[in-house]
Amino acid sequence: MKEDFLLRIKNLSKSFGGLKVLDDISFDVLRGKITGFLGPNGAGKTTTIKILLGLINRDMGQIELNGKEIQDVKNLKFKITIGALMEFPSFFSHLTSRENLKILSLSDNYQTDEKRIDHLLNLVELKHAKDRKIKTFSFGMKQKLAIADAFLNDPELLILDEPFNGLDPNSMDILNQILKNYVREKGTVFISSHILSEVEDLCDWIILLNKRKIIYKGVLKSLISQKSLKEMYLKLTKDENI
Amino acid sequence: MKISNVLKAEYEIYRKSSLVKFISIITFSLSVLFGFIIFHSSSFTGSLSFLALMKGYENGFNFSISLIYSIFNILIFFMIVTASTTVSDEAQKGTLRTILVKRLKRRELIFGKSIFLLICFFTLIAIISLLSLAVGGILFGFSDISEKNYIIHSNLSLFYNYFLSLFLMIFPISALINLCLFFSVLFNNNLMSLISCFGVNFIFYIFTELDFYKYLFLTNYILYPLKAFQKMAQGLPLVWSPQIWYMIIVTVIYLIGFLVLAVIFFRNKEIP
Repeated sequence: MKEDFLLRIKNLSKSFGGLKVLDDISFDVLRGKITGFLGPNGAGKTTTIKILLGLINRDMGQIELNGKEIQDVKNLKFKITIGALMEFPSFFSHLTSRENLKILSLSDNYQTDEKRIDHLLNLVELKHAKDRKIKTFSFGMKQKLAIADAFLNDPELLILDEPFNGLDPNSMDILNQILKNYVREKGTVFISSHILSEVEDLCDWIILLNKRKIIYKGVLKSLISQKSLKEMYLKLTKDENI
Repeated sequence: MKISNVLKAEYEIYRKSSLVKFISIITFSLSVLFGFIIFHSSSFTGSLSFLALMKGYENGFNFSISLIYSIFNILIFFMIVTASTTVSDEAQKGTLRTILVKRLKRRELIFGKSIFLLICFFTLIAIISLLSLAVGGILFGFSDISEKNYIIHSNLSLFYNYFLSLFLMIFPISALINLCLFFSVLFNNNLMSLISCFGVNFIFYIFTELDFYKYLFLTNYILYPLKAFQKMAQGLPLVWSPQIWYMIIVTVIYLIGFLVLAVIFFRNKEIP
């Protein structure tokens, strides 16, 4: 069966000061599915996500949304509602979590009422800390707030960079359930992670990046039919290193 | 519409900042204290020597004029520090990345920050002006001092020129804000941004010492409306035009030029 893609990335390349960090990568993000973006540290996952979110410029490559090419990638977020979580999220430390979400919804030009903000804070189990200043938050709590922030604008596409970082097992389970429910309601998720156990349980489609290049893309089940994802991951990335 | 959202967001961020509250209280306390010292001192030296001429001519307007003149440099210093770190500070702390993944155009953020800083500066000036007028009025009254030999301005003339001077500050101050904003966009580090901004202003200042070139540099015009305050305090006649139009044209060129440069550099900036 032909897969329906929401985003198609073709021949994407990026260098920093002559050092190539992405080398001609192509992949699809499937509509209504969870696409996992895996790879070791420094493989280029965060760089790819930063390009998609318009934070950095690409050197080469095309990005298509619903089959139409987006000329300026910075405009992608204006063509589709995106909820994003970046690795090591930052917030205004002198403000509370509610105040931060209020400001971020203003930046997004999205009308978010207090009820929705409270609902999202409840969802990520930050109800008790809604009036606490961010400077008193642990890394895990900031990560939870970043998850709430990603859902703030009721997104059609979620782009998450290492969302499980710093979360305790209970919180990981909660995020897992939130994402599954979100996809059930026709949402699309593009998620980078190195916590393979979570990815294995969550993703339908896998893209494996190593040393700036894609070494596998396809259905997760066919990759791990005989071995676990961890074993296959280690095998594939090790083969590439030889 | 988006710029108004940036203004609301900036307001929320600055409103809750204890540093802003601290600076506001310190600025106001210093200004009131400074004003009283000036009025109760018998000797003045250096650039403040002209204030000695006001002895015996105490009036609410004169009090406010001398106070704003005295603290203007402090306000400019705070304004340069705030404007030249407004983007770099967010880049340094990572909140710029959090904001820029939202549906916000980069130029809207720059326009919003520029307008917000301008509003902040003039709100502060307006508060100091109104409070100093109130304090000066209570202490010295607004009796007409034009009959006295030295001060040639009537209260009406003082009133008109006082607010005209404040209004004219909009042009050089906006240009200075946009110059600072440009350096704030260039760097992801507050220190680099501050050093560059003060460095360029210092170079501009050196050029203002040269007779011909001074007319081309912004620094020459920053204190221009303030010179009117000085003349008013000294009781000297004020001649606004045609220099006033030259000042407006030059500062508007700076204002637009640095705003455009800030937008262009920010549009292509890679966010860490």
